[in-house]
Amino acid sequence: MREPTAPPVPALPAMRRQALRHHLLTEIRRPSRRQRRMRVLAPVAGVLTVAVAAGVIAQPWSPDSAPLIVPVEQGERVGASLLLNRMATVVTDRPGPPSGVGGYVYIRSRGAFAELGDGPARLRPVHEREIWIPRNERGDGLLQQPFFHAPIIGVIPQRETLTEVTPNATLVDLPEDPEALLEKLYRERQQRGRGNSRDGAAFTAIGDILRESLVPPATSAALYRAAAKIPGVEVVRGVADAAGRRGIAVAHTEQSRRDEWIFDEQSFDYLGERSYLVADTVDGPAGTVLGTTAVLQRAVVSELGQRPAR
Amino acid sequence: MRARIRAGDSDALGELFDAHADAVHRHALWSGSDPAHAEDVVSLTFLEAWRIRESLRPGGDSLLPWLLGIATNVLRNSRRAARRHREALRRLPVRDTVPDFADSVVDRMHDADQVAAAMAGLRALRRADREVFLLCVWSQLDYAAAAEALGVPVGTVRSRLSRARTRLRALAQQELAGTRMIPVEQGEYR
Repeated sequence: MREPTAPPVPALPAMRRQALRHHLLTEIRRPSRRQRRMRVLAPVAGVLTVAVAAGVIAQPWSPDSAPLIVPVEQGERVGASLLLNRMATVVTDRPGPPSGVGGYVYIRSRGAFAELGDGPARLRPVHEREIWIPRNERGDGLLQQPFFHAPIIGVIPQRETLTEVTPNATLVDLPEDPEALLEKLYRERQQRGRGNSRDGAAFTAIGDILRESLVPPATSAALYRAAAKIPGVEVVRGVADAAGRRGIAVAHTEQSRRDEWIFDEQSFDYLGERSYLVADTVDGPAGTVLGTTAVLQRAVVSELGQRPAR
Repeated sequence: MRARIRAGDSDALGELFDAHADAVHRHALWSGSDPAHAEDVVSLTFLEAWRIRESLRPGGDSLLPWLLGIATNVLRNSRRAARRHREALRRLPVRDTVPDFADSVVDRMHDADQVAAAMAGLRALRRADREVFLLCVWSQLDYAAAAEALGVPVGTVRSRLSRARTRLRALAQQELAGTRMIPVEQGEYR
């Protein structure tokens, strides 16, 4: 049987084509009323399925701060899989996260993110973030960080109750077979549709889980082994997190941007993340930092808003 | 060209429009748009292309796959795209309803019938399969380009196209046999 061939269709009339072209160019040259874009390193909303106000700082915005530029080191492809598999072996022998009392996972971190869309990216000031995530049941969480709305003076630190937060237990309920885990991440990305590449999306998804959750050792191992299977994952050495702690990074580069998870080189504890440009773009030259974070504390607490001993 | 588009060079967008507006327009008509909607799809596709230009990957050849991917998204969700660019659409010049003297009304009606006939079979395909079929067969993108356009792995393009063809064959045979169309199977697939 013959499959239907492309039927002839009327062409766009020349006059009309010209009018559409003129309209297009007029529109894109029109000064935009849109506010500057804000991009945040952590697509946390995806994990917590809560809308978190983007771009958050402790001090008024300082427009004169210089962009932070770091050296762009060559990544190693071969080393990545060795490192991740070694990490998986080491983490398996660790005791799990505290299983005792307490219904909430508490995570304290620090970070700074760049604002994009207006010339070279400049980091906003570093701020601290605390989050309480329900451990087993879907429900309320709490986020404490300085909220920032437009460039105004005097920012008031705020707490925000998060509703319908996916519990930690659900987040880390993942196949322990790395192949199956990666398949699942690829499949979920498929359902979400377009975005970054399949591999980039899987890397981001794993990063989201590592960032703000308590992961049992067997699941950590599976996440590391799955990451080792993502094409293009590299090791970058001599990297520092937002707290200045040095470590070794597992990195993935896409669209001129490299995202790194930073680990302690000896203990393989997760330290934080870093994201920067690896080529010259409209957002700045190679090495321009787009985001930097450090996880300072993870604990289990019994109540929302309760802090563990530091 | 990619670098210029990414860098925000509006002249480059003009050149891109000259090169590919017709292909995007055809794709919209083939996807079942009426002539007025197809023109909106052309405008929306290029406005969207401009909006997301920074997400354009640096390497690669033709920008047509990228544009047809955007057009496919616009066709999937015209209302959202229209909402996003409503100010621009409001300023879109009014469409001249007088047809070009070059092609007679009779020709146009003939074309419309042909399109309807060719598209009747495609309507029975699942959307994801139909999109792949349109891009690969009618717009003649290769697998890799269609994969780029749709943001899916090449293997997925291959399997969707093969499924589309199998189904079109089955439909054609059934039509000959005069039986009812088989239902589109539901569920998760790659």
